[in-house]
Amino acid sequence: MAHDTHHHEGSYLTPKGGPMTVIWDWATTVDHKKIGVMYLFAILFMFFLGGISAIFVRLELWEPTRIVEGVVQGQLFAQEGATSISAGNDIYNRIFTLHGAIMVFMVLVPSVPASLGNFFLPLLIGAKDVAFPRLNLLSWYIYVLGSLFAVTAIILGGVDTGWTFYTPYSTTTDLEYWRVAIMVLGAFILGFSSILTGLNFVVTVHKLRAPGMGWFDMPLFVWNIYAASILQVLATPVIGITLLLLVLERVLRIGIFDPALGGDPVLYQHFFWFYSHPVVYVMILPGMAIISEVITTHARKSMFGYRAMAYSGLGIAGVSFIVWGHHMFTSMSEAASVVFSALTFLVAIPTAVKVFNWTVTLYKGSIAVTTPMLYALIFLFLFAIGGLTGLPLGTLATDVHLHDSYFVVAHFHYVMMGGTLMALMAGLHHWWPKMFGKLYNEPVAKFAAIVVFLGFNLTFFTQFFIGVQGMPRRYASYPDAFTTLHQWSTIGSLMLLVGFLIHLFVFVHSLVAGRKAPQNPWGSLTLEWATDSPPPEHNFHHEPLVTHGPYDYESVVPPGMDPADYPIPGASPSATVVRSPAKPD
Amino acid sequence: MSTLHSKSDAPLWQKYKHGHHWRSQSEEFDGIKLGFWLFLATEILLFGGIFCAYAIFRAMYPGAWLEGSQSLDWRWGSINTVILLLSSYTAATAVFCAQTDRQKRLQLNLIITIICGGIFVAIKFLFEYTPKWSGYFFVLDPSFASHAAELTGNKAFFGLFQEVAGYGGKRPGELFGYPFATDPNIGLWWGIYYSGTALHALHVLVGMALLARVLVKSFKQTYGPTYYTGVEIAALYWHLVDLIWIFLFPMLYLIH
Amino acid sequence: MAHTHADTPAFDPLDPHGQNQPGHGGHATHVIVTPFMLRSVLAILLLFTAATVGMAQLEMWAQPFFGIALPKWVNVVGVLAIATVKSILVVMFFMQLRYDNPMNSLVLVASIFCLVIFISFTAIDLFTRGAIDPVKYGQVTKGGTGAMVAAAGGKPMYQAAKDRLIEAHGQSHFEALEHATHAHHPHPADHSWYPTDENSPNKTRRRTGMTDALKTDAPAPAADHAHPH
Repeated sequence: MAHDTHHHEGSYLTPKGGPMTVIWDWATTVDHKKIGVMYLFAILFMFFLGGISAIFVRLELWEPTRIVEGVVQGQLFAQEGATSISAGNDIYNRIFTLHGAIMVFMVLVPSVPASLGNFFLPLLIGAKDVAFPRLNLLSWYIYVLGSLFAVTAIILGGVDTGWTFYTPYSTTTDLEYWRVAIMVLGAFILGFSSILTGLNFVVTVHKLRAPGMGWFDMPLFVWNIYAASILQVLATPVIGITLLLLVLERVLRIGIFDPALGGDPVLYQHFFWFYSHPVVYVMILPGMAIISEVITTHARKSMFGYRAMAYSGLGIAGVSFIVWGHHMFTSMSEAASVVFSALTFLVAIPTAVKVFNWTVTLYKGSIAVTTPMLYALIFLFLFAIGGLTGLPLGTLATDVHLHDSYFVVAHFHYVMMGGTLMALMAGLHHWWPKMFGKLYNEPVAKFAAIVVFLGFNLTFFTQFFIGVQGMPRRYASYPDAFTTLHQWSTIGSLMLLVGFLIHLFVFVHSLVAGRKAPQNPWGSLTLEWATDSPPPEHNFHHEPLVTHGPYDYESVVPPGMDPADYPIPGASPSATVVRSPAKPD
Repeated sequence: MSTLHSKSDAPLWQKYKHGHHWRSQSEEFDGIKLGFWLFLATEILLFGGIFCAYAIFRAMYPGAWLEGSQSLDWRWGSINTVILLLSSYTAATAVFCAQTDRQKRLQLNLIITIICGGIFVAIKFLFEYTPKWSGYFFVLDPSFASHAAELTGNKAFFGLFQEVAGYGGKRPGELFGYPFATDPNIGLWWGIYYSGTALHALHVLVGMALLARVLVKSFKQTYGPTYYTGVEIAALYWHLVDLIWIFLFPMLYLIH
Repeated sequence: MAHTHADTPAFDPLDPHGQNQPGHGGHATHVIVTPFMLRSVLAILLLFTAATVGMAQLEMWAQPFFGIALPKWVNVVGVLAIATVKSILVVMFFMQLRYDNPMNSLVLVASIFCLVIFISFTAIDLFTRGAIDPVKYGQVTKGGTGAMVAAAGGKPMYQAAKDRLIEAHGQSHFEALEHATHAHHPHPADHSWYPTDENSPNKTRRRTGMTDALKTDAPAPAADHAHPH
């Protein structure tokens, strides 16, 4: 189908003229692929900022703070010869807030849906574009505007409220500088970007599927992004009004959340977590979306329990609205805590359905250990740890001990970083040849993945132990007994830095000197591989007709033939199906 | 009708081409409508925060809510409700006129809707916010005459606003300066009142802007029986504004 | 008037959305709501508005007049029920959901469902504080401490405002103004029928822990800044 059509239409990356023309073309593009790529680079830049601040947090925690002969020692941010720890601690508070706010609002929430989702959701359902292309571009500009607000707040000196902006701290401090208000407005604006992306995807999935693609013919990537989009649409407005009231509270002192004016600070926590708990699933569902694609493709197996996987995504989305109270067990009433604790355990059911189905899909598959597959396996391992350590946190009795300790820090890093970010890395490697038409250096990427895996576990597994022993989160210092584990954790974070820098090198090298990618390097059956690499401007040369399911590896392959050797329908005959993109040049 | 025109001077709505990524114009219409309903859902949840805070604090401090609702004039609230219902009707009629190619009546209905929105905001600002916030009554305010007789201290502001001492200061939180309050939590009431109604008034202004854009386009015969998406969307937004007020009105003015 | 999808032909896998079916091109599925219908709905809406205002006024008048005390919920449920009926009318006819794609109705219902969950689960917490552990430690001043209010000097805001006026114009002036003001706005205390039981935010969790200061018995509650009646 795509044979010999390369001459009709250039790829979406083909420059249309001189440098100024190209810049103008990208800045005003309504092509979902270009917007996806712009999102990807914006998000990676914010990830870099957030990552650097994380390194600073770990370096501060290298040793406990001491005052020896009246002089502060062991404090990274202290002035030379400082006699008080408060100035250094102040900077530490700003750095970890910076890390949290950037990573949550500017990296994790938009990470997969806005970048890979934007690029591949229309391709996977055989559409020419998302439903509202101009709205899509607008959402990118809103994202940039929101990020600029946040960066402005940082340049003006930073915010020290923690990413949760809990009242009354966020309404009664920093009144003369307005940095908190700027940061909160930034998060408010980012919410609009998130809503627009989600809305766009829901309509796209409903209205723009290719002929022949029913709901249960959709790839699971689409199903999970769809579930996350519903959450984005229904949960984000509540953080909108919350942050708006917070700003009004600072400007007019309306007192709804401020106890000094008769308000209720715990009400703020309800408002905040009604959004921020579902948003945890906005982060992880797209990660699960990627893993479903990567595992089926690289194990060349059909997805075990396809319908269960589709429904469990929606189930996670549904349950996520009634469990927010588990973030507030120590501030809520006991009766409400009991209700929320019981409901929290419901989340384990659809999540476990997913994990078991991925594992069963791997069973007897013909697994190619490529970088995406390696990251998918890393995801399964880390996400299982993250999920299981969530259970003691959902249990009331244990949570009272573990609340706001490093155990919580380790838990959500295992889920968020070990889950979402590892999935993003899997997806990035899986789709890199499609996005940029270039292969990357497989052995080096695999080596980097292993460095990241080891560094990650060194960083965060240690934190489970210090958390259980009583180390609270957000503290700049600690008793001497925790020093060893903290130092291991810091070494791990430096390993993570090295791992990600190697990945950066691999990507840059691929863009500059990578081999040209074939149309379907992994031999996948989903629609995006049926078009050129990189795809032409309008995605497909002809509107694709769906004749087989996304994972029908067994049924489309003749008996007795290795699925890996089977040419993919729609793939150009010249493109050989490679099990793993061979050795670098 | 189209047979009367040659192809080149056919009205704009007949020449409308749907976006290239949609399969048909009706698919595009359905898609835009679904998208807009999703947007309306976010608006409902946005106001949901105000409703939630209202419900919680009302149950906690019924005394403050009683005093607060007594401080509002139900007559202004009722007039504004009627105005918004009327404008909602004209907005719905505008859609009908677009569907049946009644261009003049379409424009008329849009204009009436926008004017009604303007009156709503004017009443809110001149007769409700300003006296409560600052104590300055607009000279046309009917309740001003009785106040002027009762209370001393007339300070004019541009000749259009007269201050009545001791009336203003009904503001939220720290700015609270109303000396005759009887419930300590009254500041919360005013916080909810101002944030809820101001957010709603902002939506009225946005709705007016949307309708004005549709009006300008309708002068060029942009909308007609086969293409009226813009009118439909602006009308839907306007109905939502009405819908929110249908709840805000009894919550603030009638529940005591 | 209402074109339904009942006559949709059999599902065609190559045309899942039916856009190639006869009758689905152009705007055949779109409904034109007649002006008569719109006018009728408007009339009913105005009628309900009058009813809800009348009901609230009648209730305010009847209770002191007959010396009866209606339960709190009569007013609340009454006006909100009328508002709900009004909004259903607007949604069904002005917004045409009655004739529209059911998916759009589903979106609306989902948003309202989320709203109900939001309010009800928050209420579970706010109204069961102290239900299991009744010990109240710590004290929350009614109307806040006003600690952030520079001019209030630790008093609730309304008290500070009152003091400012009395300091500026004297007690007698204050009383004269108060009388005139309450002639316009009825004083809540005038409604002796109004129940005054309040849910207090003081029902917070008992504090225990390692910090020495918290181990000792809680200090006696500070004098409540209740307003003089």
